[in-house]
Amino acid sequence: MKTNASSVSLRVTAKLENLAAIRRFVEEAATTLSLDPATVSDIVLAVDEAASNIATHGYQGQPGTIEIEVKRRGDALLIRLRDHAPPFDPTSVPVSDLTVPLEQRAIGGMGIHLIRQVVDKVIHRITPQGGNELLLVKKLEGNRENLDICS
Amino acid sequence: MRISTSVAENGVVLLEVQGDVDAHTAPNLDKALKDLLAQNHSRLVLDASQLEYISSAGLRVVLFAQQEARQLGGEVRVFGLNAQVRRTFEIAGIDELLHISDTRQEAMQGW
Repeated sequence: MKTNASSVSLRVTAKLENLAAIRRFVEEAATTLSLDPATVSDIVLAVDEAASNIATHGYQGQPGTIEIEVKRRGDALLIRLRDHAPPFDPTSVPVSDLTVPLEQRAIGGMGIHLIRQVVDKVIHRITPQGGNELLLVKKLEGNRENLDICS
Repeated sequence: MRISTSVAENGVVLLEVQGDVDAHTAPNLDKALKDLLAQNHSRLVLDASQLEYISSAGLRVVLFAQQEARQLGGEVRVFGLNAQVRRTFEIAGIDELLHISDTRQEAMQGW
């Protein structure tokens, strides 16, 4: 784990076995920033889901790394996940339709649905190196309107 | 994650799930539930009082088990969710698809 005055970052192998270590890193980073427990839980869930997506759908079991950076900017928490997997935009995954009866529901897209529920913005872009960058923005206080920090 | 299973006097199977259920550990829970369903155990109660974390991978496993259990005439019930796990169930919309209670007593009765 790297730490400087404004951000902390972690680089790990993109394996599902590392999800627990990723959650610990995010929890410690968020706790260092004095976030409340509910917010910590939310971002731990969001990063876990995003990292799972990268390992499963991005690298598809092939070797690779995930770099996670957590930093606070004003009243928002920014979490960047970078990988070198083929371009994969998790925000394009269809969200499960919760209004459809259980028996008829396709159980997919739940991960991105959860991410969207617990953070305020999810932005995907392809990096100049051809990998992926997923930016998760969590507003820390005040109302959630007019959140134009990364648009 | 650890799972321990016991059968109550009324034939209901109690699964104590401890620790974290994420994309790495969810297959273990999936196997435990599928093994029980394959033996026609369709009345399943998950003791989540020691469950510290669950992600969508774990929720999918529970949801699949619920579908299978219902087809066999039973259901999956859950009790003892901590605040974080309950919130995850709620935002996923799973809380409306399962019998969720606070205590083991509530979950084990009324079958």
